[in-house]
Amino acid sequence: MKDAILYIKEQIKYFRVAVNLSQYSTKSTSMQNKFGRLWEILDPLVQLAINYLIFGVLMHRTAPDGLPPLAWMFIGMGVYTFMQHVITVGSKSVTRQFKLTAKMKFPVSIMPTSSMVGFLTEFSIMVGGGLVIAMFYGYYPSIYWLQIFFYFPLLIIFSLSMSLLCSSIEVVFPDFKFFLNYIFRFLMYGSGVIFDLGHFSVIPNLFIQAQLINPFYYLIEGFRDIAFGREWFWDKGMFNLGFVLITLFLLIIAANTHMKIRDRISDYL
Amino acid sequence: MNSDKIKIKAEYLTKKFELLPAKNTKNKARSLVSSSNKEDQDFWALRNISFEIRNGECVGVIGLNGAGKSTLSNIISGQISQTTGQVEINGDVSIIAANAGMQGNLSGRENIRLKALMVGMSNKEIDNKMDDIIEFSELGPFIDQPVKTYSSGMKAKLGFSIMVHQDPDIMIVDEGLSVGDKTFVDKSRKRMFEFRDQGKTILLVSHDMRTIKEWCDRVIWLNYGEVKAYGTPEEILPEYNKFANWFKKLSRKEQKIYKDKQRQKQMDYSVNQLKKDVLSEDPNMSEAEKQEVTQNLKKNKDSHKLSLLSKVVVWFCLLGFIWTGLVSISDTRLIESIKHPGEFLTERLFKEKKSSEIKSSDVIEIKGSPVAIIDFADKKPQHTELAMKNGDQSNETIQQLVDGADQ
Repeated sequence: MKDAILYIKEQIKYFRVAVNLSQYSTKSTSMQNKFGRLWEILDPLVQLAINYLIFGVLMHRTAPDGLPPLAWMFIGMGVYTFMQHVITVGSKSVTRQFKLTAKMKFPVSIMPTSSMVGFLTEFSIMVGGGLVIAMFYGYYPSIYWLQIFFYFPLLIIFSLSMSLLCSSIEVVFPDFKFFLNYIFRFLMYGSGVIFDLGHFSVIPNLFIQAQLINPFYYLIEGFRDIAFGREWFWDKGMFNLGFVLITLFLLIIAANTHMKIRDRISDYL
Repeated sequence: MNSDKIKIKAEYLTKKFELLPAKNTKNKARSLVSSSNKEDQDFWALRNISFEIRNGECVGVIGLNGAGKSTLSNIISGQISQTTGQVEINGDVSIIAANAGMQGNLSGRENIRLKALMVGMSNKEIDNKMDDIIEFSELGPFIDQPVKTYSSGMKAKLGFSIMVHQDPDIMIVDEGLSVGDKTFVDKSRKRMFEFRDQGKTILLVSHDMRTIKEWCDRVIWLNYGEVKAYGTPEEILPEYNKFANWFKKLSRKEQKIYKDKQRQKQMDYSVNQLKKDVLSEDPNMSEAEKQEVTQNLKKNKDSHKLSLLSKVVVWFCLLGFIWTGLVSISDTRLIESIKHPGEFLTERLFKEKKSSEIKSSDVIEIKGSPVAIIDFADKKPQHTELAMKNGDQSNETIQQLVDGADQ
């Protein structure tokens, strides 16, 4: 727990550095491309277009409760790809950029945070796109939008803890990134990102009713609640508790392994 | 100038490199859990190094290849961590090495800004200093070219220019200027002397005896991981030259024998040996002091073990999460499951909740195939309209179906 507090303190103290680092690393990568930083906006839009074509036009699928399927899907994808990118890219950031940080005077623990900052643009475009489309269907900003102050911090804390934990695992076990990719591809379908699992009669209702215990689904649904004003977070009852517990667990474990491993990273790479 | 302030203090410093057969996961995990393993071949790059560097000193580090010079400078700059012992550093450390922390795709100008931002300068400060840095680096029109196109000399110049404008308290120069040409080296030297006069500490790692003689107040002579001598250049340099000449004169075979002997010593070293060395250094040490030293050596670093409280919290979180997971696949509520845990675990698990408790849509199955999707959470009128547009059955038809199923 001491480590977790230290980790959070470091994040706050070096947040400015993390933002600068992120800006320059995106700048550095985007300078190789002709369109440069435009890709930050284009990439999520192209992804959305592809998914719209396949699932919206070809498969004619609908969202549960008669919600506008496009907005429903965009928000799901925005939240999910954000978590996916933060966790997969963030976990690589420590091994990749360790050399850079060692010569400067700031802790390695801000590397995942720095890569997280870079994905906020993509996140806001996708979720923002979802919200705008929802407005075309008559879901205008409501009091439920206040929930963003609840779900957004949770999203950040959860993604960062996961990414920190995975980064430590990856230092010790470099093959972990492949597993991470497979896990995320599976979760994409298993967390109701583009399908509602309720559509499939093969899955027992037992698991459908327990879906919210999956932290990824919890967050995705949370953001959908914001857009469509379905319910307040306290209506989710014990699932809130489950989510907070698992996040706390991940945060403590991740901070502890990170601190344990930090002094040895140079020996391992 | 306050010359009494200690800038760098190293005590009983050792660095062990584990010569792992391969850097595989098993070995890494093992070295995390327990730091000693008899089968492993260890190589002690540094053995029992203690020294103090004060304010305004320029200290040279000399030694043959493989003496541990770079290891030492890396430990001081914080790039690698020591195995035992303490390093106390008072102030900001900056290291010069070609292309340290530079992004090849960015231009020289952007790299200057990036590096300066990372050490915590504000944009305004950087704007003020930018012209100075560019002028000092002598890069001229190349400053707006990507750094990846620079030659090694240009990179070193840029790196040095950025560093001297960062105003560090301690500078480590690891053969950094050997790539620069004469005029640039002269300019840098002048700058470095200015730094020294301002009371800044410089650690110079070099093979170039002339530079060391000219710049340094004191010299650390490293020989295969040990401090062979520490003193003024006037004392040390003749001795070092004598040693180097002696070594040069040895036949190739004798050189190899000498090297192997020293290497073997580095292999055989251990923490216990270190303890013996430390204790024998000062035979007058009291028992309490001995205890303290032993403790210090053992401690080496904060091992970051979870405290009891944290362990309790971690387990509580994990078990709590699993419990909520179990409740979610049972037909009861969290509070009731805690009130009657026995009944919950034996009877209530793996049962569907009553349909009225499920907020999202529920699939009604008749003879094994899904027939309709019922909306229980139908709050807004547009839902129904949409559902009708999408070709879904309206609530009425569903109601009929349900009625039919009941009959």
